Amino acid sequence: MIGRIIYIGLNKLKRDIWARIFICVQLVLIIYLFNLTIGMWRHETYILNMVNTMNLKNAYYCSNDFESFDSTNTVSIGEITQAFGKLKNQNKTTLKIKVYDEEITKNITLPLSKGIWFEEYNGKELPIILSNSYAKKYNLDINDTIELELQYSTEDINVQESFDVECKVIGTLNKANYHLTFSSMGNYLIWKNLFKQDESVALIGSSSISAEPLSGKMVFLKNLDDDSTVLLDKLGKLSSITSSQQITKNSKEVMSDKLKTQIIMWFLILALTLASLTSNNMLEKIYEEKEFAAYYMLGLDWSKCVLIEIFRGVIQILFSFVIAFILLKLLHGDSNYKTLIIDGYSYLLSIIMVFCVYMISSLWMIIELLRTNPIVLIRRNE
Amino acid sequence: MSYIQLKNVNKFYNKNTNAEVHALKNVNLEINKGEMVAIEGVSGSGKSTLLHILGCLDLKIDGQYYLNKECIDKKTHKQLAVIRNKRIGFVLQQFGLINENTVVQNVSIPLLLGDIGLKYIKHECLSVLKELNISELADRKVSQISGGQKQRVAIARALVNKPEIILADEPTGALDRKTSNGVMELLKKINKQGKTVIIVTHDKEVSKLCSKTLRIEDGHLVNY
Ligand SMILES: Nc1ncnc2c1ncn2[C@@H]1O[C@H](COP(=O)(O)OP(=O)(O)OP(=O)(O)O)[C@@H](O)[C@H]1O
Ligand SMILES: [Mg+2]
Repeated sequence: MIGRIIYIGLNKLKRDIWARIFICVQLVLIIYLFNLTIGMWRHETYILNMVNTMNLKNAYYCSNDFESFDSTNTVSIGEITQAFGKLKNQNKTTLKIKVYDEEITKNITLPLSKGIWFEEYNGKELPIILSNSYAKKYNLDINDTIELELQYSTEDINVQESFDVECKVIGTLNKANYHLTFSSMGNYLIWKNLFKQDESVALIGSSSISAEPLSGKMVFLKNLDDDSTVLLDKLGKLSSITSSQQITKNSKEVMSDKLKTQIIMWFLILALTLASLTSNNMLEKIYEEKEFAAYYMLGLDWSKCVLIEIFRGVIQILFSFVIAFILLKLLHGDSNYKTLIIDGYSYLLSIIMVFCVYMISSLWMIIELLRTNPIVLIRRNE
Repeated sequence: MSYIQLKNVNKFYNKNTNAEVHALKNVNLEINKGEMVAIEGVSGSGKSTLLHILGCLDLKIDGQYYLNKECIDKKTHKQLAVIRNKRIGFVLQQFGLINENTVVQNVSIPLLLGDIGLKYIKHECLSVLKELNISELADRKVSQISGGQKQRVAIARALVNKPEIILADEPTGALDRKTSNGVMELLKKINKQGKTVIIVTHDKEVSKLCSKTLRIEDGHLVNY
């Protein structure tokens, strides 16, 4: 019987195929838009979640460089230097190399897709962590040893230093490729200024290699006591200093502004779709009822008529989902994890959402059907 | 016991409300297999109500209904759906066809709802259409054929599952004299093939063709 219900449902779909296609276009659009907005939103919140897991409670970012500061046992200062690197004797993409010193690698752990963070590594060779995309592109894996030709500019811009290093790949960054870097920025610091994404980037954990220093430092307090408060005051005089809490607060502020406009947009889109689907169902009702009355008279249980109605909706939703899925893959497959994050969760969420929207729009019709006595319908068509 | 038997059947609409209608009052009815029966009565007397009960469409009744010795008023919705599908064919005044579908698609519905294999359905439909001399309509949309043709298609749909009983509610009500005669001849022919035919009608010409006429007056059945 279920087979026949499916058959009848499909036939009904086939009959008014154009109307159905336009309904599917609407569904495709909302699934698509929903995944995009959720995807962008998840991308926005990704850094916050990442920072959250890093436990940076007593970290501070200092923008200006300060020459010397007595790094006592209450505070440690992390620095990053940068260079450009190429796989030796190979004409491959130039890598941006960030050299993290021990304080950075000790206090900050970036999410990896594979391998281990510098802290856990205790081999002799120089450890390097590659960006996910670079490792994939050149088929490099953990435990590979690579020889890099590094180049960096010294303080005197015209002088280029270069040297070769041999590194052991100990890990790869996750798909999002976030890494910590310092760049000049205003006072209103958000995490996005500190954590950047790059396709071709590699991190080296070493306090002995130094290349072009980046202006900025991370200060990590060991405990928050009177001593450290004094120290922070002192530091504040030397540079502009922002606590991690403040950065998080700033980031949240920026995000909530974006969220507000997005939520309004979403309400509008959902309201539009709901209104158009519902009105469609209302217009369709008379002709649907007539048809179901005929089915009832000819030997279909009334509840099965309702089942046909539901099945037809499910087919349209699934079909629209497949189309939206293909569209998303084709149009945004490349930017996944770069500007947005779309994965199984987003898909699941979007299908639940569209299912709800569709069902709400036809709920009225289904309730009407369930409430109606089929005889009344047959009489109406007598 | 007769083939179709109603015992003390009462039908109320909107029972226990201000809008209560006592549509059938103490109806006792016996119809034998192979009879052709007309049900007459003025508008609102309860003819359709009675036919809906006989056709297992409406089973919220007080009283008993036996169809071929089976007690119908005790059956579940599912069982009734099967009875409507296999044993009863309906013909309505306004045809009750799905206008957007083709003739074959309409005729095939009772088969689709039954258990015959999908691949035999078309063949069955075509053979019924042929029997009624309307094969050429097979692939036409219902919205594109005439009233008389629609009624023939509706009869084909009623017959396709080879039911024992044909119930017709004013089958000629929407047709002119000449077309009505054609439809009646058809129903007569079906009756001759051994099917029990029950026709609700206003039309004396129609009841004349039947072997028995029942009258309903304000919900009471009067033999006549
Ligand atoms: N769904 C309903 N709710 C309430 N009353 C109803 C309903 N259907 C029918 N009735 C009433 O029941 C009575 C019998 O109606 P029925 O349709 O059986 O008459 P009928 O003899 O078929 O009339 P007609 O010749 O006009 O078709 C009428 O008084 C009608 O108003
Ligand atoms: Mg009537």
